[in-house]
Amino acid sequence: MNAWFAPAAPWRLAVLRWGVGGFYCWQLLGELEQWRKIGRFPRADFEGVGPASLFPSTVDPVAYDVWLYATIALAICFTIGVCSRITVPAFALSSLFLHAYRSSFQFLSHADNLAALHALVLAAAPCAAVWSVDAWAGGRWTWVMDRTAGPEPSERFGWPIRLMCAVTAATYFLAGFSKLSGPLGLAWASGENLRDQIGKDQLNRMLYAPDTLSVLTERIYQSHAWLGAAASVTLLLEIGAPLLLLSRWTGRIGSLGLFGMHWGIRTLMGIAFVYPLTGIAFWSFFLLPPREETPAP
Amino acid sequence: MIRVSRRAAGWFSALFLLTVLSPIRLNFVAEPPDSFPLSRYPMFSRPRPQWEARQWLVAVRADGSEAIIPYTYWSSSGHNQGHRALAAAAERGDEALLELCERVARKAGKRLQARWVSVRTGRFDLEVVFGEGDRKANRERELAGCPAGEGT
Repeated sequence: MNAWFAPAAPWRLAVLRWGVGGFYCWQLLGELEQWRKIGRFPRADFEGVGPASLFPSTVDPVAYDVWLYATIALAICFTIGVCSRITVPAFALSSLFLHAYRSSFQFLSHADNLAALHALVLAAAPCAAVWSVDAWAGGRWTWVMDRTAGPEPSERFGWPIRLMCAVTAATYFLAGFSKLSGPLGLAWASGENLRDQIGKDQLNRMLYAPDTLSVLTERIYQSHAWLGAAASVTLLLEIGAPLLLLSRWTGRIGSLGLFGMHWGIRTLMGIAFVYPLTGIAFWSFFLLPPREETPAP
Repeated sequence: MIRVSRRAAGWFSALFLLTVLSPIRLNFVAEPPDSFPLSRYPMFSRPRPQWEARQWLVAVRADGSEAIIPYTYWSSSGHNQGHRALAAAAERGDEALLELCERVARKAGKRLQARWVSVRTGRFDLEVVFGEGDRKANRERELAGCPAGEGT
């Protein structure tokens, strides 16, 4: 319990806020047209997922646009730390519902799950105590600004970083457990299932995006030995993910392995799990404080 | 952004982590649902069948030549989602397929010089398609079709 509450400097949490917030700003603004189209998807395609299952039906397109732009504004406020007491939790909730709404149109993107969970952890933490507009603005409007702490290391900045690490490790462990508890069990490591998955993805490319068919992927599809090695490493990294929490160094090395795994999936299968691919998903492992924490970075 | 005591932070951490891990129980349920933001992350865990059934769209031009219509004509969220949206329309029946066909035909007439848009279905043996390079579908047939180009 004491290790969970070991003090950390506030800048570590601020870096995570900039990283997660920056990712959301980039995702929402970079794909703005796609996000706008979601508000115009046919009602017949809507099947509520997660928090969006609270919605009886689709949202009116004009109301959806207002919601989308409000979430973008909140994402910017979250990132730079403006009126954080209100904007940080408001952003975490609004983006959670927005992504759930998108998922409700046959668009379940598992990479978004971890980003949403990280945003929720940050929403419960004093993540804008430094390196934020609130911190620069001084002691005015304290009811909306985060003036809860000075720049000294504190336990309040440490546990959220550890929780983000634990959540990341948990999601990969779940993915590994899902493979092991499936019909194939340990045989998943043979690579045959991965081969079939690659084949399925190539088939979808052939029929729905013929310009993106990959010659390299087709060659790898024919290499049983190579796929066996890739599958074994994947399973080891996923099921061994709790070991990332043993120390700062196992966390860093293991998260580099997971980062490499995602780039491998991107190269072989053309499937982009964007949040882990950016590396931001693993920043928390590199921001864990040392035993003797100092205030300055 | 809430000022929390050590005890509250401890409880929050434990409950949050347990909630994230809770979908693990779905691994022991027949046909488990997937969700957001909580998931058991089932991607790539299910064995694939040797045969894959698919629906796809083809633009037929005036000279009889054919071209696959990319997913961007009916979906904006990636090719796998394009596949799911098309499969969902096929499951809903002829009316949904025809509606999707007409929506695509309005764009395909101009951009792909299509005179006819055909929604097809068929089965593919992955080993034959990518192992042997024979890309033809087995039992291919037209599910729906609609005119494209002028007058649509």
